Amino acid sequence: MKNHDLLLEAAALFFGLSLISVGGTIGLLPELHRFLVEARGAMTSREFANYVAIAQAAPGPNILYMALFGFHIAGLLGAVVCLTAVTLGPVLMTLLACRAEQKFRDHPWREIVLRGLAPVSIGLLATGVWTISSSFPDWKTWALCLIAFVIFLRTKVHPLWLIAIGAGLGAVIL
Amino acid sequence: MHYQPTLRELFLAFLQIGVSSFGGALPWARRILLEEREWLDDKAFTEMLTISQTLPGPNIVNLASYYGTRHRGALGAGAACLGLLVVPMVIVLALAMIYLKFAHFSQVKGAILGMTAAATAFMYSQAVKLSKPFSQNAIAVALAVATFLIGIVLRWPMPLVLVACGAVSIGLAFKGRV
Repeated sequence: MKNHDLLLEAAALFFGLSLISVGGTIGLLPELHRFLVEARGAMTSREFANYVAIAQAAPGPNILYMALFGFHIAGLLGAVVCLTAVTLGPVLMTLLACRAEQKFRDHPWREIVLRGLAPVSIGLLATGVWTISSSFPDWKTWALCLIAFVIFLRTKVHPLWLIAIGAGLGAVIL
Repeated sequence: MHYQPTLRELFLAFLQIGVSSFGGALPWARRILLEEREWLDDKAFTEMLTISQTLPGPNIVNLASYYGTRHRGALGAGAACLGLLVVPMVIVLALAMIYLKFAHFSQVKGAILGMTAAATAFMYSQAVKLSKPFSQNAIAVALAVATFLIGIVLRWPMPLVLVACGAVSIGLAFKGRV
């Protein structure tokens, strides 16, 4: 039962954090580390880092590290509860925001705000990608990334092919 | 008018986004919704991306909810989010169990690193493609680059970057410069 108490506490925290995570959830990691590792001792720092890395390497939204934290605490139920906790609030808020936005469909300010924010949101997207590439350990990884980048810009190759080739090359040279 | 996907199509499209998105999901959403299915154009996608990033929460979940709501109401949001999350959750749990067993092999670490490098390259290329519509506008390009640099060099938290750069950018848009 002790784990279920921890699960409830974690779910409440994840729900609350999700409502203040403007710009993406990557910024929540320090807070999650503080709770799960330092305050509750639910997992070691290494396990925490492994779960985040697995969620990043695996297909699917990176937020799935929440499911892994939940799974660690209370199995499959924990995974579902934690993932729901972090997504439910934002889904409801988006629903309301979408309705509101439809009302302002033809308002001139809608166009101005969205046109103005467009370059900023692309910059933010690149910042999010940077948080992943900043963990590259050596120049070989960067070289692989750069070559793939040029190929993606120049050709219409399906990304999964290059990712598979990257995995093969990585096993040999990285 | 943009294409109106059914609930089933929404579920399947976001399922495809979920299971293909190595690295981060947003660039895959652009590829699958815009390049492969041609359900919307660059302008509509960028608007949707902007709104998803401005609202709190995981951006890709917001994007799925927004796109679903837009076309099929609350049920659409549910279909898109379930498509996005359920199967990838099962995959990630399975992978975690396998990974924890084999993590000590250096080839496994190398393979994951190689995958990450290629996936990251893909995401950068999608950011470049997203900026194509305003690539002729030097001020807009400068704003995108400035946002990126403030995020990675000064390491301001995301909400602060959004508010500071957003205010400047909206001001310039109001003057007709962006």
